[in-house]
Amino acid sequence: MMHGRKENNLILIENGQIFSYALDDKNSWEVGRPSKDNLPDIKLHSATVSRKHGKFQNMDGVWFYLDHKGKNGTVYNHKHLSAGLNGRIKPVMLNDGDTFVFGGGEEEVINCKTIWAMFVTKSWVGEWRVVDSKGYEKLKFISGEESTTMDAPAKVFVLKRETGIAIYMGDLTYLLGDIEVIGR
Amino acid sequence: MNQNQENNFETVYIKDEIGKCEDIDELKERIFPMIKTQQEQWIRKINDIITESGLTKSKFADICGVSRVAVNKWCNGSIPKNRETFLRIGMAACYGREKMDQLLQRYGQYPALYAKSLEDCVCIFVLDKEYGEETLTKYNYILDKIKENIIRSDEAAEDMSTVLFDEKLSNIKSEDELEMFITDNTAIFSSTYHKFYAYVKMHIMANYQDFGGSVFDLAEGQRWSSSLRQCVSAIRQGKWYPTRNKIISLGLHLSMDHEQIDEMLELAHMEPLCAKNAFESVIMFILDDASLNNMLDTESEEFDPDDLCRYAREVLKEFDLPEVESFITELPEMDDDAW
Repeated sequence: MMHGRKENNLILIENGQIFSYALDDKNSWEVGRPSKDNLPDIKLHSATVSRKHGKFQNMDGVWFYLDHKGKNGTVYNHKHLSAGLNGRIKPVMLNDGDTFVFGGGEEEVINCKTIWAMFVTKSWVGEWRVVDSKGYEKLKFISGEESTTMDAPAKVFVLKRETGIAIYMGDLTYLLGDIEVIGR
Repeated sequence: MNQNQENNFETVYIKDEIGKCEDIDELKERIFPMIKTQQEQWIRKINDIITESGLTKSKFADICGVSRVAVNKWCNGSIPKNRETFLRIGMAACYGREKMDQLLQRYGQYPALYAKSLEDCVCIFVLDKEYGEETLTKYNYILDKIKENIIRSDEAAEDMSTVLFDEKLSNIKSEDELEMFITDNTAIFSSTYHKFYAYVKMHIMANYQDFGGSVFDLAEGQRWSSSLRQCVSAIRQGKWYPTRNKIISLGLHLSMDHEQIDEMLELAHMEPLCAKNAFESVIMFILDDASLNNMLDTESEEFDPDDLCRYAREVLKEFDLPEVESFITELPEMDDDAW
C-alpha cells in the first residue's frame, strides 16, 4: 500500500539482485565500489564503477545526485552526465521516476551487467519478488482490478501503481506490493 | 503553421545560429538584425496599453499608483524595475490572466503568474473576477487584509500539483473563501521558491567547499556587489523574489553553464534564456563560447571563481544594449593575466 506521506527511495538493481534504500534515513549517501579503505553507503561491485562514484544528497528536503566524474560516469534519464564549466559538479535535482545507469559509459545500454537505479517518492509494502520473464513477447501486469498489457516492452519498463510496482528488465521482472505479471 | 509554432521555430533557429557564431562581430552582424531589444518591445507595448485603455496618462498613472512622470518615462523606454509594477500595469489595463502572463514574461522578463505564490494567487483571483477599473484596488485590499492575518508556516507543504492548485483557486467564489483557501495553504506559499533556493545552495555546497557551502560566505569572500549580496542573503533566509537578470548574474557568478542557468530559471517559474532577446542572446553566446573555449572538463582542481564573470564583462562591454549598463556593474573587471 502506498504511504500517505511522501517518502524518497532509491531502487537499485545490480547483478540480478534488487535493493531499496530509504534515502530519508540519512542526509547523504555515498555511491561507490567498496574497498578496504572505502565503505560507501550504496555499495556497487562492478569494476566499471569508481571507488567514489557519486553521492545522493539532501538539501532542505530536496534530493540531489552529485556525480564525482568517474571514468565510466553515470547516465541519468538516458543522458550521460557531464561536468559543468571548468569541471564543476552539476548537481541534479531529483524527481519521481528519474533513472540512473552507473558505470555504463557514455551510452545507456541495458543488459544483465547494467547497474540500474530509480529514484521514487513512494514506498510499497512487502518484499521484492523476482519473476523469470525470459523469452516473453507479451506481458500482462495486474494490479487490483487494473491490468496493462505490453507487447515486447523495451528494457527497462517500469509500471507504478498505487499499490505496487513492476520493473521489467528482460530476463527478469521485479515486483513489489500488489502487482503480478503474466507472460507468454 | 500557427503564430506560436512560427515563434517557436524562429526562436530555435536563432538559438542554433548563436551557437554557430565564431565571435562577437558575427553575433552582431548575423543575429542582432533578427531580434529586437527588450526596450524596443517595451516602448511599443506600453504605448499600446495606454492607447487601448482609453485613459489619459494621468488617469493611468493614478490607477497604477505612480506619478505621471513615471508613466512618461515608461513611454520613453524606461522599463519598470520590479515585477510588482508590471502587475499593476496589467491590472490597470484590465488584463486577463493570459495577457498578464505575456506582459510579465515577454516585456518584463519576469515569471508568469504562479498560483502558489501569495501575491500571484490574489492577483489571479482578481483577474478572474474581472473587477474592471477596480481590479488593482481590490488586489491591494485583499492582499493587505490577508497579509495582516497570515502566519508564516514552517510545516512541510502538502505535495499538491500546481495544476490542481490552480483549479482549486479558479473554483473560489468569494473573498472570504479566498482568505480561507490561503490560510489553509500557508505552507505552500512559504515554499514557493524552496526548490530554487535548494538548487543554489546545493551547487555552492558541491563546488565551493572553501566557503563551507555557504552562499553568504561565498558572496562575501568573492566581494560580490552589494545588490547581489542582498539577494544572496535573502536566499539564505528563503525570502528572495527572484528577478530574471539577477538569476542570470547569479549563474555567471557561480560559473554555471547554459543548462544550469536554464534550470534555475525554470525553478523560479521562468522561461529558459531567450534567443530572441538581444541581451540574452549575448549571454547565450558567452555561455556557449565558454563551454567550447576549454573551460569545460579541465583536469585541474583549481579554478578561479571569477573567470566566467570577467569573460562575460569583456564581451558585454562590446554591446550597446540598455540592460548591459546595470548588469555589468556587478561583474568583476578583467585581470591582466586572465584569459
